[in-house]
Amino acid sequence: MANPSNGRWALATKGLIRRFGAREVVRGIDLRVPQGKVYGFLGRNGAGKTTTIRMLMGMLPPHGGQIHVGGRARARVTAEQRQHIGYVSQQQHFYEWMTVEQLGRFVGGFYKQWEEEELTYLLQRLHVQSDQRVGELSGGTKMKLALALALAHRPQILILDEPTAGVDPIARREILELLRAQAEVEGRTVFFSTHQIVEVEEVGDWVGILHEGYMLYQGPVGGLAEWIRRVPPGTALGPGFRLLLEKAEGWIVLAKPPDWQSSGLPSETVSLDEAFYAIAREVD
Amino acid sequence: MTLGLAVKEWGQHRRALLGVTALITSQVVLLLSFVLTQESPTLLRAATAFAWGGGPILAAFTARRLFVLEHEQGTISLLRALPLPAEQLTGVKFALALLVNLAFTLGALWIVALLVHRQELIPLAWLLRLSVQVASYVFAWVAICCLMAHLGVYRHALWLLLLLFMLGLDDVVHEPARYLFWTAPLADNLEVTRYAAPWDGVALALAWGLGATGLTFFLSGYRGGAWVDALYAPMSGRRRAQITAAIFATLLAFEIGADLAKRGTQSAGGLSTIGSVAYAQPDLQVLAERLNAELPPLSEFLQTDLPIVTLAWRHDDRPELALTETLSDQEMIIGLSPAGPQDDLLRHALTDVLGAHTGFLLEQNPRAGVWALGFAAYWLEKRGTAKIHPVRDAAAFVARRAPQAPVQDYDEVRASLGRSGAEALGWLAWRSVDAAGTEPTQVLARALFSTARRRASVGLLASSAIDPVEILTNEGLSPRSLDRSTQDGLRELAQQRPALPSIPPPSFWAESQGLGGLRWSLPSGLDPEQVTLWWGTVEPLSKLPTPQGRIYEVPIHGSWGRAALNADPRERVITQWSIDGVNQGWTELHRP
Repeated sequence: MANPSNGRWALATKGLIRRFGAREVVRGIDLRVPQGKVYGFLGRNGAGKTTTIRMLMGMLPPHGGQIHVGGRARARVTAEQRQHIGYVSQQQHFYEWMTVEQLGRFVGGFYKQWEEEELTYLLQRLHVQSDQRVGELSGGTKMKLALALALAHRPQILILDEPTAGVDPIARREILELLRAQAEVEGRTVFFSTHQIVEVEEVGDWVGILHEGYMLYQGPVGGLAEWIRRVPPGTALGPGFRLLLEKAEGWIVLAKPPDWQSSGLPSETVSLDEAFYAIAREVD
Repeated sequence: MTLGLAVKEWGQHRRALLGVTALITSQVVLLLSFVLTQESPTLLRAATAFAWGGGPILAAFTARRLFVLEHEQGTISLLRALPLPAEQLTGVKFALALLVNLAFTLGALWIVALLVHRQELIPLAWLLRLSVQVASYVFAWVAICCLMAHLGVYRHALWLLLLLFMLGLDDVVHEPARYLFWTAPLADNLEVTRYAAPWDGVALALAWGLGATGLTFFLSGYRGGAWVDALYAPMSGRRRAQITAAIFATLLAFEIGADLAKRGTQSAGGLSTIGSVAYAQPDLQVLAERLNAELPPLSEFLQTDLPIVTLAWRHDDRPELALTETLSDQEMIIGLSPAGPQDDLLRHALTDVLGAHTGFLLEQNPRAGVWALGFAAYWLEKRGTAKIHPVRDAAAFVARRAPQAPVQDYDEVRASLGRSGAEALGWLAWRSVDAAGTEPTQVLARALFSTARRRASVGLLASSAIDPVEILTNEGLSPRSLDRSTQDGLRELAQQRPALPSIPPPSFWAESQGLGGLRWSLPSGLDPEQVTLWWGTVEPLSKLPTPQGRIYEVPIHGSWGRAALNADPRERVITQWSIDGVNQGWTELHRP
């Protein structure tokens, strides 16, 4: 794999470790988030996604490893580096007594490149009223407000922790479209965590699958189909082929892409959902 | 950034701040009215009392609003995600906390000063010194409260432990609030600061404040505040149980430690007993022997069982030579001042034995109080077992000042001549009765002292009913002849004590920073062997120049000279000449 400090990766980690007491939650992951792409960070509840994201934001110090943001390697992301990152957390803890406008002014005061017009535009697009009190907003609207606040300083990287959790289908669609547009139109790198595989399939260019603190797969979303395929039940598998899951309609098998090509085994593509399920079950 | 944060804090806490302002105003007004009723020497006490009691509450309140709420409401995660260094976040909040606390406490001080400056003299220098004292005290409290606010869910347990530690130390260390903790700048009597500010206390508070500030910034900045965030994670049931166990263990350790310390003190001296008198320190043995020699004959004379007495040295600043604690009907402990001469201590101890035996109720009976006080001096003089020079001196003073003093009105005598004057008059009265015969003396003494009484309403009523004049009249003595006899005694004493030459009070020679010594010059013709120079200290605002603790003798070897004065520059020093054992009266030493 290429050096994480080179220009190809907007965000990368090397051997990132985090423990809570004796329990290791993140176990030496090497993250590679390509520049200008949408990266879906997939994992079950408790896989370590939020912990990883909090380390990427500098809100939680790692117990080992390095974080590369904008080509600079650090043990911890600094306040200065956060100038170039937009962040949306899983739960929104805003000052409830403020209006949306006041909150925008407060948050904007900390960024050098804050654009008030951009915030106004984003709030309008996401249907968030500026004069409303934050405490009166629904959970979904708070999430949209957080997204607008995270984008108003035109960050190079946008990091989102389960941005669609608890929002209605319409708001979910608006958020996902906005994320896609950030990469396609603005050329921003978007890194978002989710446990909804369909969302990664919908908007993701890259996917990273995290399971119990280990990175099981990382690469282009379509790339997983080259590794995991379905073969008829009872197929004789040679060396290098690993049976992940036995199902009546076929076996889910893992092998290197060249081995698939050279084997000539009859196989068919599986959905990301099936591949994720098979990997998770196998590891369990 | 800083301004944005400050504006946010103002918006978030302005209502609470207005509430606090109203509360503080009412508190200060209440304190002011209370101080007015207490006849305090200075009304500024209202402001310093507010700083002393209200300062910690205000500091805890602001620390909670500024730091704890962010964690409890989860808004800390919003702040942590912003490009704002953790140290800067803490710095702004800490500065705001300090500013608010100083504004309220110093504001209260200066407003009270402004209100009362027409009623009392408040020099600007004193007010500035007080401001520094209050500011250092407030700074330390703010820093400690902010530090505690960074200790997450463990802060309550730590507050409790700190409080227990401070209270527990009270038993082990001498005045920890004054010499160990950040409370030092305001631990002194306020009026003392008129003379000099307690700079050592200010330095102590600043050291505590700076230490706590350093720890606060370390905690908040270390790993971007992750430690603090972790400390705010909800406690598990197991952790809660561990903390509770730790608190109980600490409490127990403190209890046992304090008990051991006390036991250690006792075993160092031990209690030795001579007859019915026990004594705590070896150098009290002679006094115990002397007291024990008095008690059996006195018991027989009064036909009553006197209490068992324990003698111990007292190490406090109280001026009394003897202070008594009644342990039970038949047990008492007398705390004696090491400053007193043996004869005086014996007389005071004997007076207190009789006082404790009768529940100290006779002094509440105006007709009997003088008699009760004067009996010990009469008894010791009659038996020739102690010299009673101070009583004679006091009687001479009474003879010149109030030769018609009424023996039967203790309240009036005590108000005009003091306790020693009452004792002297009582001594003379007993002498007059004794001159008439032993029988009436014994009858009166038994009426006064033979019934053990308790401090209860029945005892009080019974004691109040005692009328010595009536008892003596029944014994065939005429009250008028008794008065005449007492006044004759006074006249005789006044003649025995001719006017003594007057010695100018010693002056102060300054060395440096309030230190220096005494300089004196005796009038010609006065032999240095005849004179003694005493010095002592007096309470800061006491109107009477009476020594508050130990008094010291200055060796006089010539008709002029000087000697070092080993006194704190902040204290008021008084001096007294004594010629042939007759005290000339205390005079305050003027020090620059």
